[in-house]
Amino acid sequence: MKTSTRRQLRFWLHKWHRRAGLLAALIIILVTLTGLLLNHISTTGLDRLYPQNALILTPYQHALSRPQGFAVDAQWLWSADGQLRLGQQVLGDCRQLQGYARGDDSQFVDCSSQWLLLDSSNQLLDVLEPSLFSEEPLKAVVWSDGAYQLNIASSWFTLDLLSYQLTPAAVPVERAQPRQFLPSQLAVARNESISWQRVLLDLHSGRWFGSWGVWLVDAAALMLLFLALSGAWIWFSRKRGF
Amino acid sequence: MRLIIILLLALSASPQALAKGTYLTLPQLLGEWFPSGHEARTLWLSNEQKQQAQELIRYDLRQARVKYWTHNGHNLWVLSETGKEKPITFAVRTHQGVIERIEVMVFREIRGDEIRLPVFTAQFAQLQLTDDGELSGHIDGISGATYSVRSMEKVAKLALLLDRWAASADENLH
Repeated sequence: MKTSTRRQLRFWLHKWHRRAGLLAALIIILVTLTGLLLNHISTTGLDRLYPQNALILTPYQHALSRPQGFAVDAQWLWSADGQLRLGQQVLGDCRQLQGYARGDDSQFVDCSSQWLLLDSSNQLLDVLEPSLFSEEPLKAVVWSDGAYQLNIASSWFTLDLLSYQLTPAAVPVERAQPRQFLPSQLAVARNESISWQRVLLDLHSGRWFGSWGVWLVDAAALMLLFLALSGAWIWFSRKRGF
Repeated sequence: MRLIIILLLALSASPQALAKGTYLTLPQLLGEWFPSGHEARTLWLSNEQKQQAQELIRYDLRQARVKYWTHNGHNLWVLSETGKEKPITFAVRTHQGVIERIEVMVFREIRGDEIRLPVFTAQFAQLQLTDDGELSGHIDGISGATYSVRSMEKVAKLALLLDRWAASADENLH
């Protein structure tokens, strides 16, 4: 290659090296910061935290779960942030509200990892440990024949709260109260499945920005490659004196 | 060949998944700890007692009653407390303000199940609740199971407090 052509090429590379550097800088900052956070994801606890910001959750609208609950005395019984609520009143701890039945003078609330017994004025009477009764999850609960009837592993059992035992029972006539979607004025849709780890991974790979995002990150990667090659060429060409 | 497959399976099995499990059921415990029979009782809690639990051992008791099983003054308490993320269910046998035994019934966390080991649970035997709401003896922790250890200590204190209240309820009855 002639010396004048090499000088021209070096000048051109120098110009585009700077431009590409500026263009790539934003993406490099994003990729670096998200990469650093991903490296320390378990110590920061971001794998167990779920963002609720509408802008951050823009690409995940399909994954937002609308809260569900049970209609109780013209109010809604539901759970949020690990708490059982009647309307906006907090009644106790409840990880995930699954079932509800009203007895003569008590109420049974299935919170998945624990069962709660409330009295008729919604005061917490008792916290029952489900694993003391069965290792299978509770599918449905109804109040029938003066006792709570539980559907576990496709069979029905009567819950004896005195002896803490389940005795086989016939299929009750009553139907389990259905869980319904809460009205939007009571509770907005909450994100309980997309963790910060997923958001960071998607930002890191460009997937968060949709199909264009992946191309954008590809372009940034190619720009980095160009920066490395052009930088090396400029450095070597200077060293060799042309 | 079979040995290699078994070794590979053993190596691939996640130790974290192995931590979870139901280790003791209530019928098992009642049969083992109260072989000559038992009586199921309910301890009703007053607001003053709930406040005392909060002040003395920093435990937030919300329910109005606690179920327990008893025989000749020996009481079995089944209590759950959150470890790092999920509840751990413990069984504690108390007698006259002293812990006799403590066991893990259900462990739901992915790690920290070393607290089930007899060498660890033995540290709780004969401990009492001091006037300032602490256990009367030191418990050596387990690295990597800090939250589980903390839960067990919390439940041990609560069981001793409940035992104290159950004894005073008995005295009031007689």
